[in-house]
Amino acid sequence: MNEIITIASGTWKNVLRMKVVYFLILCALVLVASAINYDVLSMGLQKELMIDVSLVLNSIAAMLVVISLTFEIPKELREGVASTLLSKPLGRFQYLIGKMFGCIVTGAVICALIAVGSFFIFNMSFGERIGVTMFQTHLLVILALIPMSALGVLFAVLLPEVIAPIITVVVVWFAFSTKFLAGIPVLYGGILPDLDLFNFRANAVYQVQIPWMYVLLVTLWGICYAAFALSLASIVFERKDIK
Amino acid sequence: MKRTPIYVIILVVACVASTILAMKLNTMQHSFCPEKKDLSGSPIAGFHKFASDVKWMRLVNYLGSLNTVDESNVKQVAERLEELMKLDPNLEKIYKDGALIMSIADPDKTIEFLTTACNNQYLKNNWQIPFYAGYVMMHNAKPANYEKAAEFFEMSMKRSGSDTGASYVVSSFFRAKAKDMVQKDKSLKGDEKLALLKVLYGEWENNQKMGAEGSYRNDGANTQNLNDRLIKALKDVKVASEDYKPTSDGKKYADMVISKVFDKAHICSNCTAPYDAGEKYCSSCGTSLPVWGLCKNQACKKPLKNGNAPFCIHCGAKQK
Repeated sequence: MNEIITIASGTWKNVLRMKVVYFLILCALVLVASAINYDVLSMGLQKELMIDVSLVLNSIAAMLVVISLTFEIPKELREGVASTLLSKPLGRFQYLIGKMFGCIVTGAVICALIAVGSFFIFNMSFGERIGVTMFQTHLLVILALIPMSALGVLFAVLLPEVIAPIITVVVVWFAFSTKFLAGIPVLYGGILPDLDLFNFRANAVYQVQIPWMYVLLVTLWGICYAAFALSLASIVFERKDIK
Repeated sequence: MKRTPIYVIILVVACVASTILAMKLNTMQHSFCPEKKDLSGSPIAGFHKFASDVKWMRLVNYLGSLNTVDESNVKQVAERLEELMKLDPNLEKIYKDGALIMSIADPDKTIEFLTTACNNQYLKNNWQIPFYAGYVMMHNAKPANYEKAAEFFEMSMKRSGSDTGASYVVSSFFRAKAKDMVQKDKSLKGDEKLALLKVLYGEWENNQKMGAEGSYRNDGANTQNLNDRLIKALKDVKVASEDYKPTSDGKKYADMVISKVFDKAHICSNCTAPYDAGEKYCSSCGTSLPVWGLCKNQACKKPLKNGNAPFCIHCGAKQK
């Protein structure tokens, strides 16, 4: 467990110590705040727009964190950092799980900062309290990092450094549109992820509450899917020749 | 390599568990988020709401560039609204501001959009949308479908509940029913005022049967007084105006309504003006009236206070 936390902390420290991350968070919050100026153009929908923009930017931030992971693992493999780490009493599975865990923590911190900043801006702009649904939807964006990070790890192990981030983005992008496969067991939700299960941006705008049981179950699904993707990545990684 | 079988087992178990959970979650999601299944299938990474926000602002911009919405551009406006509906069917503004813009140029399409909104689960408590649908059906559609319009107005009435700002919805409902009656019953010879009286009387009879005298529906949705509307309708049928000449059939029907509904209300059978105890002739039209509210004392026979006081104010005789 200590080894996993060491690998994970290395991952999150790598990203979170970069000042540019906080500058980007600030830029995201400026964009959220700018939604208030769209009152005329949106015919009075600026409040809804602000909620939605905050969620969109949070989702993009989560996606970028996952992409950074797909750059990091191949880079460590190429530069021999991974082989140094793996020469210690550390299993390949632990290495992958540590990377995934690090990515989740990094994403959670960044998304939480954007969410809290958005809540503050929303409160200051409209003088309204933050609804439960708004909180739930931001929480679900953070929870979506679990399967997304696992996918990032899988493609980082499976594919070459140049292709891995592109394929990850494409898969994550299309993973929101797999509903039409809902009638096919194993393929739907098992092999192909349905990230739309975490997507409730419209609910946040219309204040339609999400049952907490659903939030719990979707977290469980995220963990199960991450286990699937990670075990597949481990099978491939076990056979990989690391220099 | 020796761990591979363990990974395979985890992989299979996790895959099965994921698919079972995903299917359950998909069903759950549709239960509290029913519009999900109607959303556009375009692969836009779940950014449907954001895309709809952008498209809405583009539509506002586009509409600003038009002088009016007419036959030349109504198709483009409808297409843009349809795209918006697929991205965010819960957006009220699409229907309340967007669809109504094209109600004159293409009333059928407007009604189609508004009907979709009426069936929307999230907008199920919105009473303005069915009202607009009924209004467009009654005033803009060619030919007007009054029966369907009345159905929309009734839906609006039920949704508006005790909202006092919605009194015009009730008026529209009865007007639509009256127009529908005129359209179907040729014996009325286009007499909308008589038709309205018949509709209101029919409603009064229904309420009597349901034990909800004085209110429109037994569900308590509307508390406005039906009797006030009946009095106004009676006056319209009985009294001549610039554009209306009372008919004998109408007068006969009005007399029947007065005798049944207002037998104790003491209103003039000619002009429906209310009259007080002891009055022999109508102060509005001079018609002879059945006198009521007199003292029982044969020597007195003067009007009682309010027509029903327990003692006569002139002789002090007890009345009951």
